Amino acid sequence: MKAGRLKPVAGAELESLASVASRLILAGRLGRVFPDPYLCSDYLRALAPSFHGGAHAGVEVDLGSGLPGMQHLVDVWADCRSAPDFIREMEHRLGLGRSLPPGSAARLSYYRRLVALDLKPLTRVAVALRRVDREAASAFFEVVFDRFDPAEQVFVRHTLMLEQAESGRRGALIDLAGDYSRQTSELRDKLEKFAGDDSEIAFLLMGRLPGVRVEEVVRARIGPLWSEAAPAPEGWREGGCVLHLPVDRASTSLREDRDDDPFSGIYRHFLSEVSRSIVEEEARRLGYRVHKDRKFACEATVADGLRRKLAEAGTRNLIYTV
Amino acid sequence: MAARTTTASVPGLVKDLVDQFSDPLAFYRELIQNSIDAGSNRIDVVLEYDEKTGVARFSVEDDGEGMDERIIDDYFLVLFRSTKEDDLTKIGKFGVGLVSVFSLRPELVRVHTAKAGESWRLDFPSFRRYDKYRVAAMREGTLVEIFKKLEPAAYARLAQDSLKTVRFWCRYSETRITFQDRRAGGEPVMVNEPFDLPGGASLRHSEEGTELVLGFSAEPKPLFGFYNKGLTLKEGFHPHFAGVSFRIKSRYLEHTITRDNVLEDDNYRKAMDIVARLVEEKLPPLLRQEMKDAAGRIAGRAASGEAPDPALSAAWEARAPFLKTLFSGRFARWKRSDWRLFPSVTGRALSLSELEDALSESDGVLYAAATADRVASALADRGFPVLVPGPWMNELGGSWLGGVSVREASSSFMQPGLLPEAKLDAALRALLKTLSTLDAASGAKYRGIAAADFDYAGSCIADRLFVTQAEPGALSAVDEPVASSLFSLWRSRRHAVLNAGHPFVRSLSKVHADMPGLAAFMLLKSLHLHDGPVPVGKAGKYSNLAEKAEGRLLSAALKLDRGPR
Repeated sequence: MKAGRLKPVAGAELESLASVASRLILAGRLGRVFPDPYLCSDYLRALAPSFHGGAHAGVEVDLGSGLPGMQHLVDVWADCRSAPDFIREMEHRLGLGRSLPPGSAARLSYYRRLVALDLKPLTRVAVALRRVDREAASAFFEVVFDRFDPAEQVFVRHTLMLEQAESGRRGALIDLAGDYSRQTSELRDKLEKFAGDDSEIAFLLMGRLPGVRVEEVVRARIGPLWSEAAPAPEGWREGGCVLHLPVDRASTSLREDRDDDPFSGIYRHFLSEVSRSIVEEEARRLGYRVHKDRKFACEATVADGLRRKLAEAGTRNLIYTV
Repeated sequence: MAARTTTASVPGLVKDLVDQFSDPLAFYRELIQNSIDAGSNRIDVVLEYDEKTGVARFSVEDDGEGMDERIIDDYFLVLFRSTKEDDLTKIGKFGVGLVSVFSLRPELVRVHTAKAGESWRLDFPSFRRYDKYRVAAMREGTLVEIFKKLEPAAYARLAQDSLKTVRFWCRYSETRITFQDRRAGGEPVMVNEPFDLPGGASLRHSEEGTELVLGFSAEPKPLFGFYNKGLTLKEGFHPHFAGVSFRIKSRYLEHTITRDNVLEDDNYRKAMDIVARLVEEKLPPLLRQEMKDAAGRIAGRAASGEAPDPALSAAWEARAPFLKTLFSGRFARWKRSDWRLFPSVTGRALSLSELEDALSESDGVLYAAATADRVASALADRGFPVLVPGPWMNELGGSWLGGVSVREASSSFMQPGLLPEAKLDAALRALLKTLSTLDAASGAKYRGIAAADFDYAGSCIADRLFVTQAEPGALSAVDEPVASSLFSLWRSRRHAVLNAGHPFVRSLSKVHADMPGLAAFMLLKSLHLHDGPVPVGKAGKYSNLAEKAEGRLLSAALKLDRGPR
């Protein structure tokens, strides 16, 4: 599902969209392979008119993802950055007994609410050392890459388990000094480049890097969201809101491929026979298999219909309702 | 429909291990730890009680990765085997967490879990055996249910203890944890609390795998806490670093297998090295800033006459033990003597070196005054060290300033406020005149006699009838070594300063209207009797001098009252 046209949404419609989207995210029982559900939910809540009190006009919803376009989330983060200074300045004025400039009272309330959310940036890379194998001169890392995907316009988290040898050499993804790991620009470059598609592709591309052995790549997304603003495609239309929560995992710990995602297939299965055999050979060499899964969070009224459609599609999927 | 696939005795699940969990509710910590390690964002602890059957259900459910059959068989059911060994991003290491659920002596333990499209249920009627079922219904994460038959009162007690236990072990968890006792009703409560110190932390630090909060403490045994991913490993009171309390969450910390302590291995030392580094490098400048702020505010209040704020003194006092460690040792004060940490009554804080300079002016005496009263201000103007009283006085009076003596400014010095003639009432003015006349007639024992206000703020002479001073109205020591005026030579004579507000002075002013000689006689006699001690060995001489002086004084007084004959 690629990003599509934009649809302006404002007022009561935006209020309802922001509310249901944030509730669906929290209902989806999202573990740590997913983008932080509380953070994503808070970003969407901050776009509701009742939250920002008119500080923003409406938003443009991406019809492909059903979520507000990236620029609106960036606006929220920008507001978050400027909020402390604004609050300080206005509180100073109030402390001196001066009145607030017109329109500032609503913005002050909005900024106070925003600061209370304690938001973090949506794009983040975190590297954690898991263990060091002194004998093999290699180290094992967990890399978590969060972003709002500019192509798909959905929240995405990639979690990579990597083993890297000789971290001191040129072109290393992660520098290790004692127990402290530092991500290099090389790592960011590679993540940006390889993380735009299936976890399997990222696995294959990362697995070719010298000195790197990939154990697992998990991509988990929040979105798309079917709603009145961005309805489901033909054949899936039931009305109501449905949030997709897809996960695809390429891992050496898996024994077989499994695809329970009715909207996406395993990468290798779409290749020509020639290409497929090459990739299959590579998959065997790297020792990974792929699982694709997709769970849903939806309004209770549409759960039965969705369940029926999924059964028709022949996949087994969890559905959570609000 | 569940299909039973395996019935087996659990190998290695031994009674001894069950018994090692002396707290029957320790399973909460173990299960929550497993849930966090499984990558959960939220963990729900739910308690229920079936009134009909008397069976309680304790459950812990997460949204983590769950387990497939391989993990169940190869790790979950195998004692001392963990998928997390040596992994710095995981808390659990020993593979004994499951055993803890049997310490409650339950009727049944049931585990529901799923991963990779497989859903499983495991029933443990006891720690000796289990039944494993493949389940058709899909699910996510892991749910552990513990069923135990209990009396209602026992359930109520366990429910209360459960919340306390979960709070103690998990309140700083990085994963959200809710607790709900459905029998008691109400919404689930959030167990998590901000990672902080009582009274707030002075320093927050985070680096890969470690987060710390540090603060200053006045306690001889400050608070400490060790955590991994926010789960409590050990808390207590111990002087790991004098004057410093801290909590540390670190990937380096883990429990001993008995769960009653932190494993003090190489990793523990790495964690403590981080604390030590921060204590050494980051806390001193913070201490300086915070004590300077507190001292500045205390000084400001004293200078403007405001009442002292006990919270500010407490803040200073809490930091004193750490300051003590910085000031101890041969070279410890190098570059620290200019820290302005000691509140003076002038409104600014002074440093140790400034105090040392001032002490050379005050003959090694450090003065204390609660506010910038007349005496304190005059002393400070002279360059004497006058500090607001507080916990710093003891420290300074001890080793920091090499055993200086500390005295209260207002009881050590006096400064009566001379009253100009124009401000005196007529009766007193007349009395003063007669006193001068009579004093001159009886040998001029005083250089002059004046009236003054003794009742100034902080005065230690408010009740005194008079004082003698070398300069009337000047700042002078209360305990000046002065001999009786009867021994004074011409040059050593002092001024007598009367307390204008003293009842005796007032009453004699009235008497003076009718009998000026008598009034002046009585007052001067009082002055002579009490204006200084008799030098040792001169009692006889004093007696002669007193008789002579009294005779002259009486004669002059009578002359005055009778009029010239």
